[in-house]
Amino acid sequence: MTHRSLLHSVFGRLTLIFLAISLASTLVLYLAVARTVRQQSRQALAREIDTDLAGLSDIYATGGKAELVARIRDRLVLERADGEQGWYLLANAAGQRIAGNLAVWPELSAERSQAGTIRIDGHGIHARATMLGPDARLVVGRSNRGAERLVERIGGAFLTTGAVLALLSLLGGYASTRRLGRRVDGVNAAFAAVRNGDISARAPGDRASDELGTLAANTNHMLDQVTRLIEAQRNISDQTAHEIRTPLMHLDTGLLKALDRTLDPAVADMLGKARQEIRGVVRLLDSLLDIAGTEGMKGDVRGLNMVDLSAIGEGLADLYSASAEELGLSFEAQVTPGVNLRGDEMQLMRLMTNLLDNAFKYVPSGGHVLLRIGPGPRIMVADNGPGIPIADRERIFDRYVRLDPGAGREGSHGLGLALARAIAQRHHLAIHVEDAAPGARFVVEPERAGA
Amino acid sequence: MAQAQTISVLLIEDDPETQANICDIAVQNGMTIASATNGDEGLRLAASGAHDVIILDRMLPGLSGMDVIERLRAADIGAPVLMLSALGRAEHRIEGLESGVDDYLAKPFEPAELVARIRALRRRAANQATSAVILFGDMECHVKARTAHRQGRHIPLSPKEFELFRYFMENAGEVVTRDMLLRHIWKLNFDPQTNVVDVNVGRLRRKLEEGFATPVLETVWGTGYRLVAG
Repeated sequence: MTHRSLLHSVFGRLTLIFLAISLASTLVLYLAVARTVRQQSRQALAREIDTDLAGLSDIYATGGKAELVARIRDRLVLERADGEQGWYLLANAAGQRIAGNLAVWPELSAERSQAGTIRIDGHGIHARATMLGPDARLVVGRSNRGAERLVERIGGAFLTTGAVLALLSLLGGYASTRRLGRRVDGVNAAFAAVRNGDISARAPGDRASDELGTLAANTNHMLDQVTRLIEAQRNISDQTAHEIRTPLMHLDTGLLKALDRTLDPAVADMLGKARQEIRGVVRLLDSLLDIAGTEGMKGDVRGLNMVDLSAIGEGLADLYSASAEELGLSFEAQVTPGVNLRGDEMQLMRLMTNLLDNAFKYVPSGGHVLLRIGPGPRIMVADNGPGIPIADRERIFDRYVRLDPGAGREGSHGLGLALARAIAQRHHLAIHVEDAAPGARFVVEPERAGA
Repeated sequence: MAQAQTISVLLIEDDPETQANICDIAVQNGMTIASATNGDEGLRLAASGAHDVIILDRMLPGLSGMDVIERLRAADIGAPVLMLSALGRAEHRIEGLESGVDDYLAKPFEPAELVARIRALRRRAANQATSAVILFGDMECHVKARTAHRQGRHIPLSPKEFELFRYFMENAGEVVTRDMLLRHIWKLNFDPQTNVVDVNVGRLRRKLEEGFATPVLETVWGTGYRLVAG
């Protein structure tokens, strides 16, 4: 299971995006609430100020200046419920204080009964001024500190809620990212396992009713289908082999019986040749099915083991050295010990024998054949025979291509190199032939990336 | 070698023509043969334990050859099994051998090849314990010391030549086919396009025969070789 950071997972990114959106929403909501609270409080204070101002105006009108001064003092002594005191200033026409707790006349026009906010000790105070008489003007103010404290408290509440929300979202997001990530990883792991040859691997969680459950179920349906297709392909090739070999077997038995009963050497010769033809057809069939089967197994690592290429090379060198002597060839094997490859041992043997057979068939007596196995792995079979013309160096690996139909053993179908290439490709190896000047050099080495 | 005793074969094969053909071959070669046309019948006959070698077709109706071999082994029937199959690719041979059969022969086959395989299986089952020294004619094979002698004279052999000699000695007097040699000596489950087997046997033959009056390694035309008493 791969471990991803939140940022590298689709689900993690979704979580972070939703977290950002909800934090931004919380902030906007806070700003709107704070604005409403301030507005409401200002309106309430304005109403209170107006009422107070009207009351004090009445007192001035009925009781005169002395009465008003007394009432202002009363108000300043009074303890208000919100702990805030009211602000008052009764001043003469010159702005000099007669009564009240404001030191100086604010920049409010009494003639126009102007209202506004004034600042005292850093606090905002809503106030309204008014003319009571020619030599008396009054300012009444109320501090907005209560509203500010409320806004602060609301802000605190929003901050706490936002932090808790963010923490919970992160925790929840992380948990669901892990959980959802694991489910998607399960699907990915199934694909990877199948690609690596474990055809029976399936995605977990295909019974869940959500989208990921559907994804897992669809994945598994598709893998089932792939398995069925592979089986079907195999069955068809097995069936083909069976259906063709059985009548050939009958034909061969019939020829053999006829051969037993004839005394005519010419007939016996013809029957013998006919039997050879049957062997040839069987070999052709096997080779074609081998090539098709091997091509079908490309990338399939089932049943592959570490194969000691060096040991195979040594064994084949031993097997072929006698042939070389017989054919009058010098045969040399340069094998680096311990060259290993994960693969199918029998197929890799086949690959090397096909290349050796090829060299032995085409190199004339007195020639030289070299088998070299080195790290990489790199398998090389070189000879100093006639070589392969440039134009044929690609197509020689195609099926049924024989450059010199006269050479080689009778019944060769031109499939040896096609099978060699299929085997190489199955093992992620590439095969090519180059000019050994003189002669041909077949090289099998790992496929280049991107090739 | 215990050649006098008749070999009893059980054939499990559904194709009537192939069945008749194999029965003919067995009888012509002095074997007794019983045959079944499907896996169930074959298992019933095999249960008697009276057969030396079982020839089993791979593609049978109902129980497949693979199923039959599994049940035979489960039922503790130890007779060696030769699997006969229309699936002859190397891949199939290996799969068959891995499933527990003792030998694998693809159709169509040479009658001589079939007979050689049956006899070899029978011999292998009969002499499980290989002796330290195998004697045949005027030849000696010292298995532990890995040396070959003829008429008391040591014959120097390469390691592979010794393997070849030992295999011939173990199957002395019997036909040994090219396929058998490829499989047992070189572990190849397919036939290389060149005559490598003939060449290697030729080499061994020269070493065994040079300086001696009588030949010991005969070529059996079209099939393989036979080691005879010199």
